[in-house]
Amino acid sequence: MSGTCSSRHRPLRSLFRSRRILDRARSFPRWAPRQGQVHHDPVPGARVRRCGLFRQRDVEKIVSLSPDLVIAGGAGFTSADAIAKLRDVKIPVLVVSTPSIEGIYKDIELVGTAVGAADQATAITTKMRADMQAIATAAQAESAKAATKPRVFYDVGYIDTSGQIYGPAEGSFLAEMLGLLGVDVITGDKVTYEIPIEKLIERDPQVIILGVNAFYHPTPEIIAKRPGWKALTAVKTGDIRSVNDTEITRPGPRLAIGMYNLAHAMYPDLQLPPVS
Amino acid sequence: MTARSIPHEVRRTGFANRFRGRTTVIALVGIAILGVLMVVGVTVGSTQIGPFDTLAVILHRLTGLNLGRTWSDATDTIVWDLRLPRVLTAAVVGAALAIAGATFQGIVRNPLADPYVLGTSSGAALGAAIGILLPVSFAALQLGIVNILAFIGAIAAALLVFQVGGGGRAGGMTRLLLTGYAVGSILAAFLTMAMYVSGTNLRTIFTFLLGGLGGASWDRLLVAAPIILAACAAIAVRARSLDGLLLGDAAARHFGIDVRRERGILLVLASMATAAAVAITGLIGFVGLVVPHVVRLLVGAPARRVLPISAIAGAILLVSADLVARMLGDLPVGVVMAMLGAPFFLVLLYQARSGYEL
Amino acid sequence: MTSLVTPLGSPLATPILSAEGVTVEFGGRRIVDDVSFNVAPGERLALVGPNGAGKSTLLRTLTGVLEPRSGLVRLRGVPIRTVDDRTVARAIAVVPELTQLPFAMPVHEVVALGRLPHDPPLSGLREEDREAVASAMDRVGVADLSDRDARGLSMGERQLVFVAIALAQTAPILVLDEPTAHLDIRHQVEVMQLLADLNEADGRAVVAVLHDLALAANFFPRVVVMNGGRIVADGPPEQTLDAGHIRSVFGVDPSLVRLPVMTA
Repeated sequence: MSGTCSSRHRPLRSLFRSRRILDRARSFPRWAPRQGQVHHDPVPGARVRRCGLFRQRDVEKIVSLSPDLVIAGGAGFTSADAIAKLRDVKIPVLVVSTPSIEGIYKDIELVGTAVGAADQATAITTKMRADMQAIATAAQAESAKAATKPRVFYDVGYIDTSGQIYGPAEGSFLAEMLGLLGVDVITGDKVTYEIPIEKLIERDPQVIILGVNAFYHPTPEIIAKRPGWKALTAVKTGDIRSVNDTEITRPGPRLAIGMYNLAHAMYPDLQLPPVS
Repeated sequence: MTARSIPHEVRRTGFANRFRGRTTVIALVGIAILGVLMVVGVTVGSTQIGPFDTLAVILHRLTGLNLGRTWSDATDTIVWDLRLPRVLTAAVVGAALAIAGATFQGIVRNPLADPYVLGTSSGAALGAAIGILLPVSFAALQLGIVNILAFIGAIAAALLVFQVGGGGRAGGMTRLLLTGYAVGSILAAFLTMAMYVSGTNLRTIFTFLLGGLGGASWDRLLVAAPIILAACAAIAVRARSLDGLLLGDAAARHFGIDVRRERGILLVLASMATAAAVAITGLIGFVGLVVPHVVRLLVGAPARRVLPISAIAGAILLVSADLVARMLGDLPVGVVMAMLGAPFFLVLLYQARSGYEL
Repeated sequence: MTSLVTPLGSPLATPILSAEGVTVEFGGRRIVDDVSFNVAPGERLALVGPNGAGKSTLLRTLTGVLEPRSGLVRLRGVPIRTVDDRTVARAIAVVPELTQLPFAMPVHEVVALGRLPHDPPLSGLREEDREAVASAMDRVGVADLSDRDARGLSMGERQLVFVAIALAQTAPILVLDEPTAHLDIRHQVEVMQLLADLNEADGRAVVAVLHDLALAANFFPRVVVMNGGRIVADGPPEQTLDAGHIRSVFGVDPSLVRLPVMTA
């Protein structure tokens, strides 16, 4: 994260370089409607302009839209070249990158400061913190009732041709969220977020939470047929729960909604405090 | 008449038996090594499983016999559903690529040929990419639509190259090779385009290109292995034709070999073996090119010896490479193979520089 | 070695190889024009002529590789196109062109390729095959090269080895297309003497296309001269390679080409 921006009074045109960042922009009502978005997350009321493909940015197109500020996703989502080029033409670029939940809060506040809506940002993060805490407390109380923490695996993705399995990366906010629910989280590699099948069998999840989205939506039957997966307790008992991954895997202001969905999937009978 | 003779008897025992007996010994030793490696391959993995448990699981699954040992469900699944098909796939694919490589080298009479000279690698990769990018259901993916399309892509590329490159026409080997190169390039260009627009699927396509045995399963093996075994057996039976081509098309014709037909058949068979292999493991290089040469250094050039020994050697190489790759934390098998095999090959070449003898 | 064919001169000996009115065309041009001639069993003849006379084409037609536009080629009286390739290969052994091998092979394995028409089983060479290979290498005189890499041979050695390949085929007819093309005089003579020996001692029919008229005259009792796709002379070299033919067919002053008289 770098760069400071003075607030401006006229509407800002800001371009978002990944869908995750867009979530934050949504919450600032002062936004001018021009936004560039790359992926499939229709946000009501936003006018979308394509500025590139996943991981590739059409720098020229961005420049032609004359943004006042570009907010870019870090952690390799945006190439350093593209950022450098934009800065070369004097377009300020704010790079945000979030390894942890606390980091997400800080990012939102940073974006808020950058666009001159710091107060709104703080209001958002305060509410988020409260919501998250409430859900975590309720979930942990529920989890404490059981003798041992259930072993849970969140299925992020799977490649049939190579048998590669993707789960929550160790130290990621997703792993953190699951941890806050009071479960024994099975994580994938810190960098590649892969987990080898033999390791998964060793860890033996009792519950599999399937993060479903437009691209990845296998059925529990399909999961049961994956080579080696039938040794997992969760597959044997059929405890495979689907949840929409939209708010869960995006580090933005809707994270609390994601946490709610996750908690609901994990403890369906539990009464959870509402989140807007 | 020049008088350069040595008594018949001495000469005959000298050359006649030398290679023949040696080949059988090498074959038996090779099979033994392969057996050991396969057992080790099934025993080793990220989960600790002892060799006795491993064998007990396999024995139980095959014969129902339970020799009083007990093992967990997880062990059973890991050994039988994961490691065993993986090791068997490595053996079958290694053998397929080695035989296909030896066959192509014989057909085009070029020691630098490998199983992919007819553009099969690009065809398979493009087929796989299309399969990955198609909006198909996950059930279709699990059934192996990517593998099927990879197979079709490989065969289609080979047929295209064969047709455009002049078929089995006498004397057209250079043209065939160049056509293979050109068609391969075109397909690779399409593949690059597919990768460019692939978005989140880039990883999947790239994994296929790297080649690996992680996706091995009984389903895939039981479909590909019969194709491979049938094709390799059919090639082995035609070893004579392969030898006949050694001195060129005209000489082959004069030896009574129907050059056009035999060459066409051999190309199709070798392409099928390659396509089936590549369809289940992605692009694995090195084996098809180098193994036949190593084998020739051991048993000479005649195809009737080179083909079966290449199969064994190819299997050994890929099983070992996969084993090492797994032990080193799941590296891509192609990388391990090149690092294992290339120095060994260089040493052999160095020692053999004065001729074919070791 | 037992003679492979019926003795020469027998009134019942059908020509082992014969061409009847053979015409071969390529792209509208007549390369071989209405050629008829016979090869008797155990005969030795040289086929000569200027470049483009159609010698090689005629040879390839005689060995069954090319189909004539019209006319017939017979092998032992039977039309060659009705005979399967393998049987033809067991009757006619063509010395291969001097190509380079793609892989290293010892000479004895290269010569063993000559056994292919005899269908050696996949398990390896039979006793009879190894015998044939050994004796072929013996006859040709390359037995001491047996274990050497064929790729490392000199031109002369390689030519001899290739003759050995054809010999190992143990066929009654031996065909050669310019076998002395790249050889020095010593090796040329060696090959010619070998051919004479194979013919006289074994009774093999030998048909050789030669460009060297001196060799043809010296070593072949019958020289067939071709020009423009036709046979213009056929008989002993004194007749066929006389001054008149040399001038008319080859277009050179006969006094420049001093041919030795063949010793009886």
